[in-house]
Amino acid sequence: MKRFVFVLSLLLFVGFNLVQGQGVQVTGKVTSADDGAALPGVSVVVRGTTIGAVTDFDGNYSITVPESATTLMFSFVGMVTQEIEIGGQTVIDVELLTSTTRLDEVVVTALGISRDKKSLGYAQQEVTSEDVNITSNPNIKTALAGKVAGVQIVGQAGSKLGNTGRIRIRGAVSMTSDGDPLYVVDGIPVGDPNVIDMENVKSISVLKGPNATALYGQRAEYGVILITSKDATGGGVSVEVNSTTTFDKVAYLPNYQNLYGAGYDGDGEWTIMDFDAGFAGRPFHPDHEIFDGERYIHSGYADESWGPRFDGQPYVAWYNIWPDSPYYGELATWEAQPDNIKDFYDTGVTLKNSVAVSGGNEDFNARVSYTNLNQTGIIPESYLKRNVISANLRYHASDRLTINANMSWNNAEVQGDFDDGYSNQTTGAFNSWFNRNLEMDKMRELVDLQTSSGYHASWNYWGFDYGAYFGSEKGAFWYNPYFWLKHYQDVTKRNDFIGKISVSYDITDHLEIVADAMTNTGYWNRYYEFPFALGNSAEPELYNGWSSGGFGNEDRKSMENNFAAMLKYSNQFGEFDLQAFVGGNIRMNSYNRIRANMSIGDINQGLVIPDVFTYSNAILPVTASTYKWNKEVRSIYASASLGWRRLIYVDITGRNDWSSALPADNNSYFYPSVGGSFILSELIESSFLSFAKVRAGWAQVGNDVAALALNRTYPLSASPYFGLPQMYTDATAVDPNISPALNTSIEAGFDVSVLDNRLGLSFTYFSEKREKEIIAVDMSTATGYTGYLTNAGSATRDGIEITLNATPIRMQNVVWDIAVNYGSSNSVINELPGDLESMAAPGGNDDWGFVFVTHELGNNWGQLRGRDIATDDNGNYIVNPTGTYQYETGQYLGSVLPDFTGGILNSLTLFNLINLTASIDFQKGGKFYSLSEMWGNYSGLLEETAVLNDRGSNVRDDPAEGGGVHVVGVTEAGETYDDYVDAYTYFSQFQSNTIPTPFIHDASFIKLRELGVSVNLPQSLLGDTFIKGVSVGFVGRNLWLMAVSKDNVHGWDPSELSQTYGENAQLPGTRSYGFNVKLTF
Amino acid sequence: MKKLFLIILSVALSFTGCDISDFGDTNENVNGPLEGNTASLLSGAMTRFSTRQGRPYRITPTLNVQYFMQLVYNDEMLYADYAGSWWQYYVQTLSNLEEVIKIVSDPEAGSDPAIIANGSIENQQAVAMIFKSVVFKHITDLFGDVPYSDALNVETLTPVYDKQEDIYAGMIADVKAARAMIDVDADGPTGDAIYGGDMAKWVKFANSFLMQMAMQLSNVSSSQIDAEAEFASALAHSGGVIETLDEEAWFTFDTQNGFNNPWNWMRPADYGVTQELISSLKGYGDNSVTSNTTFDNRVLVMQQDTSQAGLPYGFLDYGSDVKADVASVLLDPGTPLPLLTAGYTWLNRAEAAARGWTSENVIELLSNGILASYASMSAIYDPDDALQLGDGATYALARVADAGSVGELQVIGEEKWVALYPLGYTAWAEWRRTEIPVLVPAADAINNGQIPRRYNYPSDESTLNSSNYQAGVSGLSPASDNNTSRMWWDQ
Repeated sequence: MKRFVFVLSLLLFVGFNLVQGQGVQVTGKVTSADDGAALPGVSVVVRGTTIGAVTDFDGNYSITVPESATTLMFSFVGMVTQEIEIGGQTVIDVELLTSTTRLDEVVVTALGISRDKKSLGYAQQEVTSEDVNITSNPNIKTALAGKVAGVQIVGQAGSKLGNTGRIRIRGAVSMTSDGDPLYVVDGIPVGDPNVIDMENVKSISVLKGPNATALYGQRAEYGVILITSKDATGGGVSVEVNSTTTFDKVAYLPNYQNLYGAGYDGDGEWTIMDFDAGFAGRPFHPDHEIFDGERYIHSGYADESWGPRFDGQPYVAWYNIWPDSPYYGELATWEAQPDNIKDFYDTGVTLKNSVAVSGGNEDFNARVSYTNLNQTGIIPESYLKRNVISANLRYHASDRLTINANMSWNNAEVQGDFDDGYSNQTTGAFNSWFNRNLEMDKMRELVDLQTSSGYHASWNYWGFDYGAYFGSEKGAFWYNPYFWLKHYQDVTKRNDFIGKISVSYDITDHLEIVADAMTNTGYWNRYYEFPFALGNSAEPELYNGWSSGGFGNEDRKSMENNFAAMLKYSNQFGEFDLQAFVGGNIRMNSYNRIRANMSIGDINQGLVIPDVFTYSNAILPVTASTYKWNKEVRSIYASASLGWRRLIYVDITGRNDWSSALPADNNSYFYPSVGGSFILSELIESSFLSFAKVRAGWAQVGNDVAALALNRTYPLSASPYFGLPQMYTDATAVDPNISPALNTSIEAGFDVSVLDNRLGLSFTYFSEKREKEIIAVDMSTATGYTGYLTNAGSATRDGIEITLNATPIRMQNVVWDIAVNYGSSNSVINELPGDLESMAAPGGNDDWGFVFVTHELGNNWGQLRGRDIATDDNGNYIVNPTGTYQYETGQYLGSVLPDFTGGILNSLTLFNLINLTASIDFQKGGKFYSLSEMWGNYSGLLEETAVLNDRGSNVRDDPAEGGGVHVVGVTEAGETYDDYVDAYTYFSQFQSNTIPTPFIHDASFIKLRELGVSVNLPQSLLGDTFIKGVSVGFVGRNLWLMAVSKDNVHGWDPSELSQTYGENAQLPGTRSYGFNVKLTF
Repeated sequence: MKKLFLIILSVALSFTGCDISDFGDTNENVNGPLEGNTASLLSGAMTRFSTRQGRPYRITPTLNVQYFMQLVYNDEMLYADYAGSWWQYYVQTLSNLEEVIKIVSDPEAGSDPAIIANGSIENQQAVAMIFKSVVFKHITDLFGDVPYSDALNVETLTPVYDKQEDIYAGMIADVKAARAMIDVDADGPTGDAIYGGDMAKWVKFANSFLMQMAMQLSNVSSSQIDAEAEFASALAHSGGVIETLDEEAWFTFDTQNGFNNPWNWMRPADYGVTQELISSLKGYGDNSVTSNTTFDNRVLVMQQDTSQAGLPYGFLDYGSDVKADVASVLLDPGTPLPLLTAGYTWLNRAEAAARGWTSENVIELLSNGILASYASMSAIYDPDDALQLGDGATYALARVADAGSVGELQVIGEEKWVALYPLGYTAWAEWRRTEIPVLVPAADAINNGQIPRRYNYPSDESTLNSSNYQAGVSGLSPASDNNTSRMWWDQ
């Protein structure tokens, strides 16, 4: 290994002369053409060299230029790059114009190389700090929503603290995975981009396809998101203080019915207490005698709402029956609680405070920041705490030697039970198993209420009848959710450190060597405690099978270290510009997990002495499991970019990787790319046309396998059976001749801007083919295996991306900018292994197996597959004699991928003081399944289970008396069926027959995601105080789900679905409001 | 471009002679064994098989033979036409056994100390082969024609479905070959979770199992298998057959390590013992489905509270009626479960005699079967004799008398139904062959109103192994993949 580094360094030096040049000192000041303000952080570069400087806080710079130099380039994000002939001047002051189209930017490209954007042969989009911080959103992924063409946010409700969803760029093309892109922060690959505080982000650059990412090789199959953090500026000390407060309120819930309450059997549930009679020959609980003669629900344990119609009359509720209750002996009123679910949730509060100090002098500058995030969730008892300390340090050791150090330390802690799977104690009950008559304020108030024998009193008590029958005081299936959340502890802690030390040395004016050492070290811990109080109130002999207490602890350590070196060359030869580099990288990953979890759902497990959370106190021995792996990838790469007359640019890159995860004799693979651009506007003198470019490229990028995918072991049982570990054959067979998967991509497009850059259009077409995918092919399990890991199959994706920038108004005091992004993508499965006509796609299935995400040969990527209502040739539903639908198994019900996504960003600046920004994003197409909705129908909770039918009666009424659900179809014999079907039969058939169809919806939406208003206090107000700037802002997030597909009757937010197939029982969406204050000293 | 790279690379490598593609042991997998251990694999197959839980793998057959009923969530009781599942048998049960056979079949195996430490290689192979046939009988009795000769081979991604007749011929041949391989004086397999390596008992098991397989074919004639002769030859084998409790094959569960009786998984509130079972055993009352009129004490280990009448099988909605709880002993995590008992084997012999396959005394065998069933149920389910099951002698006498009036085959069939409790799979295979006792299909059945004759093929097969699946379906009568189609031996 060390030898490899040595070779690399030698290699970089071979064949180059070390020439030192004489220089001339040039100084000056850079200001904004708009308002004359000094511009700190402007990059000043001698054209054709790597010699550069950065302006200080007052906009001043100083640079030593070689005698041969002719031109200085001044560039700054968001400004038009200027080139000035030096012509012997020693003082050059420059005014930069605000760029509206951002076509002249210097952008960060693969491996952190800064490039003139117009020379690029592929599409690349940058997002500014302002645009991702419209609402000071702590989640970098959702902050990107709608701001980059072709980027889809596969969201997660913001209420799931510490969980940030993921991003899908250009749809999907891998048949086996649907992953997040690679996030690179200041050159350091990181797993979770939230290790960096958003306040520290200077810009984000999105590399979408292989043409842009070829130099990252195998890691970039889902694209790359390059994050550049704010760095130090020269000049005096500057302090920035930022404080944001946001409130989250639950906003998006399904539509509930409010006519019927708990029970299974309508009005037949009403029973009058006859205390002496008891039930089924067993006596009632003595404490319930005071209800003799009162009415109650017979199926007290019913966690459905097919019970009696609300009549406003008294009845015995769960909180009336225990002597400890302040309402003991009283009666409740049988009426709907329309807002009971909404009322359950708290208002989440997010406090985010940060301070950043930066400054320095000619030789040394630094920026250090600290951010504290303190968030309470909408789920009671939940919180997120995060602290981030970051530092960017730069030391100019000499004219030629620069040392940079970047580091960020992130410490986060999340408490709360955010389970959003089927049957969890909060969302798993509310939309699936609940009563419309439950009063949430009583639950909140009576969280600690106990039964006569001291058990937890649940809303889901068996009821008088079954309580007598079973002799039980406990809940049948459910706890009071507040009780659960109060006692169940689930804490996740993270500690992440990313760091990089970079040394660069200008060997000559044209030749620079850079060496980097980087680390990304993460420590993750989860600890949960399930106390006796919970287990003791469960009824394992009946339903509620929790253990008598338990806990678990899991530690994960992951580390990625990279060592890279690069030799950069930059020169002019007559009319030619050359920028080239060669480099190498060694990446070492390691992972180590140790887990010892007690199963809290196992009635045989538990703690002997209550609430003593030590392993030696466990009823069954707790088996620890460990898992670890190492992986190493060595890479060499090179790139050359040749420009001619600033008119034509040609780029060539190549990269070779050696991966330890591949078979030893076949672990090397090479990927090339070639691209070019032609800048038409250089040939056309026109006052109308500001800029025009066409570009095209071809690239390949490959992917290897996970560390241990090919090096497999025999699985062992979790614990031995009578002293003998149980061993099993591996369920996956491995093809011995596996080779890396290969993506081949072409991309072409153009960028045009007109009318002094007030209107700009960028268009990109891409087409990508993926071959030799490494697939664990499903095969007949009669082979003794479930899968065969081999190279097989092929998929393609193509699409277009359009970005449109316009400045409809650009006046002295009013500037209005609009940016529109649009991306469409179409992914198709072209080949499957062997004779397969379908295979499992990434995304799994819902907890009840209604839909499976599946690839179908010849069809779009990721179909929902499951049963469908059978239809005849004319599309009529085929109906059984009972009025239920017939079904067909294994039907393809549509792809989860949208047809297109996009966003509109509006920004209005008034008097240079007030800024109003609104971000809208949208999506057309794609399918999702809602398991909650299925259960909500089954349990009679949702609106459609209690609406009026077309005869004017409630569907729950007896069909013979005008009620029932109107069903029209044909019988199996082909005769017309037109009748009214009992509501329970109708709404429960989908569960009984596993038919997902009514609950699969189109995922289209338009959403006003972000709105921000910020006001900068004018300088005149601040006067001569030490305060240099004050800005106050008001922000709103997720304000308005403006439109969803018509069939999405419950308004599930398709941008916040936690699962690829849809949702299982997910947390509700929130609307957020807040304000922030920013002070600069 | 690639050429340029290779040049640079070779220059680089020439400096040091180091191999950039050599990662040493970086990627070594340290998370588990790289070599198979025959003891752990054999035991793993047995425990996997015996701990299968859930409705398709444990409960559904006990509903089909009306041992249990479902109070709510009763799709299975009403014969929902679900796709079946077999991966738990093929993957990590049969594949484990195949791996053991592969390892011990290696010519070097006999001199490998790591392998012979787990028992003589012949005995290891014999037990693996016998158990493999146990599992295969299970699979083919559930589905019909299934992959057999092509199965368990990664080279064949789409294995052919063998005819059930061929599978039976193969299983019988395999068990006989294994029996011949057994050396009772050599060490038995270390990983034998059933007999602890007692090879003499494995010979008895092989013979009893051969008799069970032969009897399963009583309704069909086969050019390949002479069921009557196979039965007689197994019975006549010098190693003997299972006759006493200590020769019976039972699975023991290691609760301390989480290997629990799979019935422990069943949610007791949802299930009850049927009125059909209770009434039949008590010898009176509604819905009795047997000819019995004498109180059968074995009901004491089946029903928690014998004062209850239970609910009849097969209704969608029982309103507020009270079910009869399943006896808690069946649900205890540590209760052992039978695989093959003396009682059932005696009853197989009784049936063979009644059919004229052998010349043994039917009445004596029937009586032995009942007494042996009493003995094992008492020992396993009531070890402290708190329930005082007794020896069953009175009951046996009464049943012998019944045999005289209603017919020997009927009483034998009824007694098998009782003796096989809670082995739903075996009882269901017997019932489909004999249709004894006379069970009434669920009143609210949601298939076409018949008691299922099989499981539907796993849903994957129609896509992953399509043409062979079609061939499998064509072997059914009628040739459709439903739970009411019949397989070869079910005629």
